Amino acid sequence: MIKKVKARVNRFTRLGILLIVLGLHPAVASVAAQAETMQAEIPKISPLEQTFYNSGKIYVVVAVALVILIGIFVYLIRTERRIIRLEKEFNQRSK
Amino acid sequence: MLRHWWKGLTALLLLYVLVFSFTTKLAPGLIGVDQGRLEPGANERVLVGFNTSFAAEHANPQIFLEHEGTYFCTEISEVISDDRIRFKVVVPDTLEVPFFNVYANSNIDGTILLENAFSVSGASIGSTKASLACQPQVEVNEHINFGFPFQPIIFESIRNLMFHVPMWFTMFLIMLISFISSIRYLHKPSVELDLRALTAVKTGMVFAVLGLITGSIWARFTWGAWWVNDPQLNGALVTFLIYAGYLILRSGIADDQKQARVAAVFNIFAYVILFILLMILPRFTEGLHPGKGGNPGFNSYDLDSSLRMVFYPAVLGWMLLGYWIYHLNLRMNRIRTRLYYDDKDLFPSSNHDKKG
Repeated sequence: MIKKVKARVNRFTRLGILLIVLGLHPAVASVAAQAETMQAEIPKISPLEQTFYNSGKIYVVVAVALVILIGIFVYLIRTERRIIRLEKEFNQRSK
Repeated sequence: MLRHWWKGLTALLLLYVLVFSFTTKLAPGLIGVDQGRLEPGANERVLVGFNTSFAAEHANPQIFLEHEGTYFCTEISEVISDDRIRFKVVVPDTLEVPFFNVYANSNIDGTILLENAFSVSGASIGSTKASLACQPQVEVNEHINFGFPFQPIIFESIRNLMFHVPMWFTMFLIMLISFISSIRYLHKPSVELDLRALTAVKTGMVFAVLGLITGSIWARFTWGAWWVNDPQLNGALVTFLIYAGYLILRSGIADDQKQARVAAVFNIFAYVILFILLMILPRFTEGLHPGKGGNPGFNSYDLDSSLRMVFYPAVLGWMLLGYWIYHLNLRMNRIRTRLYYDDKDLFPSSNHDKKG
């Protein structure tokens, strides 16, 4: 049982590290690419990206709030799954 | 029921934060000009504002160019819309500095500034003739409208202050719980204290991940890159990796007591390093993240009263939410440990609702 728990912890951390490394990757290249602000039209910009620059970048805030909300919900779902597993375990033992 | 009052407070605080961080208006500001280069003689340019009300009745907008404390009056030729205004300015042949700041003044927006809006080409450098300068006949009114402060480039995304920054505050709090538990564990070992430290690290890491992702999104649309080489950002990443190391270290030691002891020692060092990397080092270095050479947040000038009114409740609300999540996890982990070890003596019953 303990081993199982440890295996899960391990998977969780590995996933986290992978995410961070992936997140870092485009960063290394584009340190210099600081936006000239939105006053000048930034060249070759995708429509999706433009959405974020529109309306004074309010959609950046929306994205950030959504990320937090989704992140907390994902974590809650994970927690619930662990509780369900615990309940099963408990029920098996009490039989 | 009364014991749970702080959970109600959490909900209220976060509701307040959500409502006001999205509904508070952003103070007016200036974004730019249609063409940033002036030549000696008469020029006509368009000034672009944000959230301004140039076209409103009684607004009576006036525009001044300024450098080195000398003002140059302009003539408004056309108010195109609320955020666009066309004006004429006569630039002298000799200037002290070939750059101009632009001030716009109106009865509704107050006085707003765009720094280094214009550069002048073709003017010789020398002292400006005093006759060309003019004295603005306006009252300088900084905050006529209540609203979040207008910051160039950041614009509306200043609202992220209520979401991104409290993630890190919450992580600090939860890691502090972990830190204290580890110290207490070394003083007097118990499964409960070890469990607290482990649960807190896991919960804290959730907030660290959220902080990293939200920071990355904010950076992308402010600095133009998902990640920049800034001491604060790298420090945050290193902190995250150190705590990931904590979990890996734990899984690497088979003996439970040894695992808990080594982990506690590691955890104490981890918090010290977290503190150094995020709170101390960035103050002595230069970088893009706000607060270099001072406080590693927005400095006191940027954080004005309207922001504070939402920011402090936001910090408290997110912290309470983080503690709540931590506490639920702790209770779950207690039950799990009890199930797996099948040893009721591990947990003195009085321990139930004590703070970590």
